[in-house]
Parts: sequence; structure tokens; C-alpha cells
Amino acid sequence: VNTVPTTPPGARVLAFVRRLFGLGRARELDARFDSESSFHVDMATERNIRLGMTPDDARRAAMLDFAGHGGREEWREQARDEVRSRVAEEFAQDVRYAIRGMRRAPGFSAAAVATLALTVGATSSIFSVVNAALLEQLPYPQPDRIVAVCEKNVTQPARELCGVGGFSVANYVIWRDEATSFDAFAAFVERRVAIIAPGADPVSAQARITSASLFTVLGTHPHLGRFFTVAEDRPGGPNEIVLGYAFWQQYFGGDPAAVGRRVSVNANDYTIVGVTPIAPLEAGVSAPSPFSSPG
Amino acid sequence: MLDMLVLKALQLGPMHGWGITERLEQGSRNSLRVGQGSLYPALYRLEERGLISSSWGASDNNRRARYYALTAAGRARLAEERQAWRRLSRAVELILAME
Repeated sequence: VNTVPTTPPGARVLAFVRRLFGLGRARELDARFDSESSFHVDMATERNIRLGMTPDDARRAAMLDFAGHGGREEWREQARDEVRSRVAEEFAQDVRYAIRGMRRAPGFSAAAVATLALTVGATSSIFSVVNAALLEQLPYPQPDRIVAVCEKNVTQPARELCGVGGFSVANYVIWRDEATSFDAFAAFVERRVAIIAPGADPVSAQARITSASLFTVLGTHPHLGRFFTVAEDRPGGPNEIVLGYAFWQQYFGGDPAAVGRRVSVNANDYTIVGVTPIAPLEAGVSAPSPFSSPG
Repeated sequence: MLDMLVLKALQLGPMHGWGITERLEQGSRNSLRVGQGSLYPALYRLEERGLISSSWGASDNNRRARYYALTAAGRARLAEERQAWRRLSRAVELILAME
């Protein structure tokens, strides 16, 4: 049977919420029950007196009648169960009503569900992009002052590609020496390398071959040892390597004595000079660069 | 069935629980007695379903009493139940009168 709802939806929602947090209501019901039942017993007593009982007998009979019907506790439980089952029943009713509505208008329902799915999906994916690009900061001091520069070929405007890493070493040197708007310039390339520590198996690692100034640009300090110096950052400079923190933990067991040891990087001898702080670079190893070391 | 009788009793006007039992007893010429154990749960149930509403008021002897009143939904329900009851009782009568 479909009954016409007479209460406005807002009031029903409010009533539902009130019932969900129904403690105050239970106390209210108790008080109401006490008041109602004592009134009822009093009235029954008066009637018994009218029927010719002595006041004492009349009251006792009324109370007995009352107790004969389960008494206060049972009554109250029944009333409460009524309230509780009503909540569950109403919820089930709402669900059934929603399903009936969806069945009656499957096209509309599908459109509504699709719209919801698309908007929720779009919103969350846009948020994750915005979060990573705009809200989440780089894990370095003054992250808002770190920028990536790139080159774009103006003779080929169709090629919009402008990513990190697309420039010549000569241009880097000019930018570094001539651009006055920047505190520091750094350049790096990434490459997979084979690293062999003495007495250990070869390890394939993602290396960042970098100018010494990278650490200046990022504004980080080494966890152990030191980073590369500008003096070393020249052709023919020493072969030096800085371990990433995670790489150091994994392959050197976090041993501070790793600094100063020699490892083989792509079959060339390198000295470990330092370890990066916990998460400054995702790559495992940094090494002086094509800009500084030959080959 | 008690629900229907309570709704009918309240159709005559708002009343407290005691008064409802009296109305039902008088209406049935004392052949029906409604125990409190079933009356009050029924009242609470009907109120939860929005068929009746309740509020505090003063009784004839000037005591505080909870008065129950029929709502529009309750009135509609009473009409429905009344029809259903007529159909049922007629059907039962017909069966009992079979020869």
C-alpha cells in the first residue's frame, strides 16, 4: 500500500537524525511513561472507588491490573523496541522506494548515476593533479623558489614539448654564467648504472649525473659526509659519488663507514663522499657529471 | 485491529490513554476491555508512524495527561482499515452462514 507522506521531507530527516542519537529521547520516553502510567493508575483507582471498593482496595486492584500487564519495565521495552524497529523499517522503506523509483525511470537513473560517477571521478582526478602540482610542495627549503627551465624550438611551434632535460650543455653554461635573476643553476641527466661495492653483487641503480650546484639549488645538506664541491666540478675532476639515503640504507645497511669507501660505477672507480638526507632525490646515486668528468 | 479501534476512538476527539480505554469499553457496551499493556505500545507505535500526535494537556480533574489526537494520515488510515474490516467481516459472516 502506498500511503501519501504528510510530513515534509525536512522534518522526516530531522526526526530520523533525532532517533539515531536517541538517548535523550529514551529518557524523555521514560519520563513520559512514568507520568502517563501514574495518571492511568490513579484514574483506574477512582473508578474502582466509584464501583464501591475501599480506597486501599481500589488502588491495589488498579496496580495489580497494571502489573498483570507486564508492568513498567516490559511496557517501556515494548515502546523502545517500537521506536528502534521503526528506524530500521523506515530505512528499508526508503531503500525500496529508491529502487522502485530507479526501476520506473531506468534511463534517468542511469544518466544520474553516470553523471555522479563522472563528476566524482573528474573532481578527484583533478584534485590529485592540482594537489601534486600546486598544493603539495617540493620537499626542500623554499620550494616556491625552485623552478625548472627548458628550451623550446620556436621554428617548430607545433612541438610544444618542453620538459626537464631538453637543453644543450653549452646553453646551460651560458645560462649559468649570464642569467642574473637566479641564485644558482644546476643541470643533471639521469641514467641507469651498475654499481659494485667490493665483495658485493652488482646493483642496478638510477643515477643522476649532476653539476655540483644541484645541492645548492635544492638547499639541502648531506645526511653524512659532503656533497660535490664547485672546485671538483670541472673536466678532469675526481670521480665522486653521493649515495641516496634509501640506497645507502638498503645496500650499505646505513653504515656510516660507507663514506670514503670506493665503489665501481659502470666499471669506473668512484669514491663515496656523502649520503643525501632522507628524501631529497628519488634516485639512488648522484655522481659528478659529463660536465665535470671526462667520458 | 487494536490500532483501528484506537484510531476510531480518537476520531471523536483528542483523548488521553485512560479516556481511550473508557471510550472503547463504553463503545463496546463493556464487552471489550483494552489492557494498558497493549494500549500504550499501540499508542506509541501509532505516533511513531505519524498516524496520531500527542501533547501534554489537563484532564477533566485538572491533572497533567498526555492527549492523543488523530492526524490527517491517521484519518486516511482509519478509512482504509474500516473498508478492509468491512470486507473481511462480511466475508467471515458469509462463510459462517453457509449451509
